[in-house]
Amino acid sequence: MRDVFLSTAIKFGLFAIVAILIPVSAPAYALQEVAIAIAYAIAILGLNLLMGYAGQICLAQGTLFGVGAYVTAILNATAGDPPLPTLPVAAAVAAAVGLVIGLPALRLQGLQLAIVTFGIAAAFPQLLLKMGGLTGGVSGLPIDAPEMPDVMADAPELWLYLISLACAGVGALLVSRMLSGDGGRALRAQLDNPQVAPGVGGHLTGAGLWAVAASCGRVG
Amino acid sequence: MSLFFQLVVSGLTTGAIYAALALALVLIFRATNVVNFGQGEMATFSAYGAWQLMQWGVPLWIAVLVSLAAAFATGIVTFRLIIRPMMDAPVEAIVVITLGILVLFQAACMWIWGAEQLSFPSLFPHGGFSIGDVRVLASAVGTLAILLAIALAMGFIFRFTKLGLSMRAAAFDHTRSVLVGVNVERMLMLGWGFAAVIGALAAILIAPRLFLSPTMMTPILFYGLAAATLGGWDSPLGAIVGGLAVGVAESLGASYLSFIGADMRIAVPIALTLIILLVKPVGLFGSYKVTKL
Repeated sequence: MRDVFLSTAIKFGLFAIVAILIPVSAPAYALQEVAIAIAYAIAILGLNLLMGYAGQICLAQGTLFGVGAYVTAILNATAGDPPLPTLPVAAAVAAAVGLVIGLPALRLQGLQLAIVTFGIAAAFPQLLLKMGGLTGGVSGLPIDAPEMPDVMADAPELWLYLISLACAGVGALLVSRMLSGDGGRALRAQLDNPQVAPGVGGHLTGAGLWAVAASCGRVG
Repeated sequence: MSLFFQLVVSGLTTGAIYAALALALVLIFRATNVVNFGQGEMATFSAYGAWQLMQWGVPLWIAVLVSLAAAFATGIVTFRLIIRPMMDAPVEAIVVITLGILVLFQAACMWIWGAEQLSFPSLFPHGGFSIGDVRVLASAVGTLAILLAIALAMGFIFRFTKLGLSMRAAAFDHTRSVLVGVNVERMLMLGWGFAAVIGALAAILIAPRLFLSPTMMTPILFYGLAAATLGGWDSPLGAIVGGLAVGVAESLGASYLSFIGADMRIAVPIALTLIILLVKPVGLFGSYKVTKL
C-alpha cells in the first residue's frame, strides 16, 4: 500500500515538475501549442474511458468535442456571455448529445457502432453548415479571449495554458474517481455491454471543449 | 410521375456505384472480418493512377485496365503489410488501422497530385435515349451493365470454380480450411485484391461526375456502408440490392424531402444505416450468427 502511494506520489511529482518547466522554458507560441495539445488530451481522456474501460468504439468523439466548443461560441457570440462561465453549459450539452449518440449503443456493438459513429462524425460538419445562421457557416464564430486577471495581462498564452491544465486536472480527477468507485467497477464489469458509457464519455469531453474553443478563438 | 421515374433511373445509376463499393466492403468483411474504412480512398488512389496514365498519353481503356491491375496489387500489398500482422488484434485496433488506411491513401493522393479537382473522362459515349418522358443516359446503362458483369463474374467464380470454393471455405472457417489444404492466406489476399479492383472500378465510374479529388470517395463510402448494412454484411447479393436501394432512396429523398437538401444528403445513408441496425441488424440477406453450445 505504501509502495503504491509512493509511486503515485513520484508520478505526480514528476508531472508537476514538467508542468511547471514547460511555461518557464518554452516560448509563448509553443506554450499555446501545448495548451491546445492539453485540450486534446482531455478529449482523449473521454475516449479512453469509453474505449478503454467500457469497450465501446466511438468515432464521434470529435463531434462531442465540437458540440461543446460551438455551445461556448454561440453563447459568446449571440448572447455575449463571457466564455469561462459557459463551460458547465457546454459540458452539459455535450453530455446530452453524447447520451443521444449513446442510445443506439444499447443495441449495437463493435463494428456496427463504429460504422454509425463514423457516420455521425462525417455528418456533423454538414449539419453545422446547414445551420449556418447559428454557427456562422464556413467562416465560423469569433470568440472573445477568456477574461484574464490583470497579473496575466502580458502573458495570455500562460493564462490559456493554466486554464487547459486546470481543466485537464479536473477531468483526470473525475475519471479516476469514476473508475475507482462503484460506477467504475460496473463499467469494467460491463465491458461487453455498457449502456451509459457514451453519455459518461460525453461528460468528460464536454469539460475539455471549452479550452479548445478558447484556444481557437485566440488563434483565429 | 415522369419525375419519379427519372429520379429512380438516376438513383439506380448512382446506386450501381454504391453497390460496387458495398460489394468490395462485403468481400473483405466476409474474408477477414474487417470493415475497411479505407476502401474508398484506396479506390480514389487507383482512379488517380488511371488519370496519370492518361496524362502520359495512354488510351482511356488501357489506362483503366492497367490501373485495375495495379489496384489488385495495392489490395494485396495493403493486406500483407497492414492487415495480416493485425488479424488477431481486437476490433477497436482494426477499426483504427483501417481508418489509418483511409488517411494514408488520402494523404498520398494529396501529396502526389494535389488537392484540386481534376476532370476525368467518361468511359461511355455522351447522349442516351428516352423512354416516354424519362431520359436514360448511355453512362447510366453502361454503369449498370458493368455492375451486372461484376456480379455475374463474382457469382460464377464463387459458385463454379475451385478457386471460388476455396475462397468461400477460407472465409467461412480459417482453421478448418487449412486442415483440408486450402491456402487460407493466399485466399484472403485474393479477397483483398478483388475487393480493391471492384472499389477502383466504382471510383473510375463516379470520377467523371464528381471530378477527381482526394476526398472524392469519402461520401460514397458512407453510402457503401449503408448499402452493405442494408443487404447484410455477409451477403454479396445483398450488397448489390442494398446499393441500388440506397441509390434510389437517396435520389428520391433528396428531391421529395425538402429539408434534407443538397448539403444534408450525407445524413440519408447514415440515418438509413442506423434504422436498419436497430430494426434488422443482419440486413435483408444476412444470416444470423448462431452459436452452438
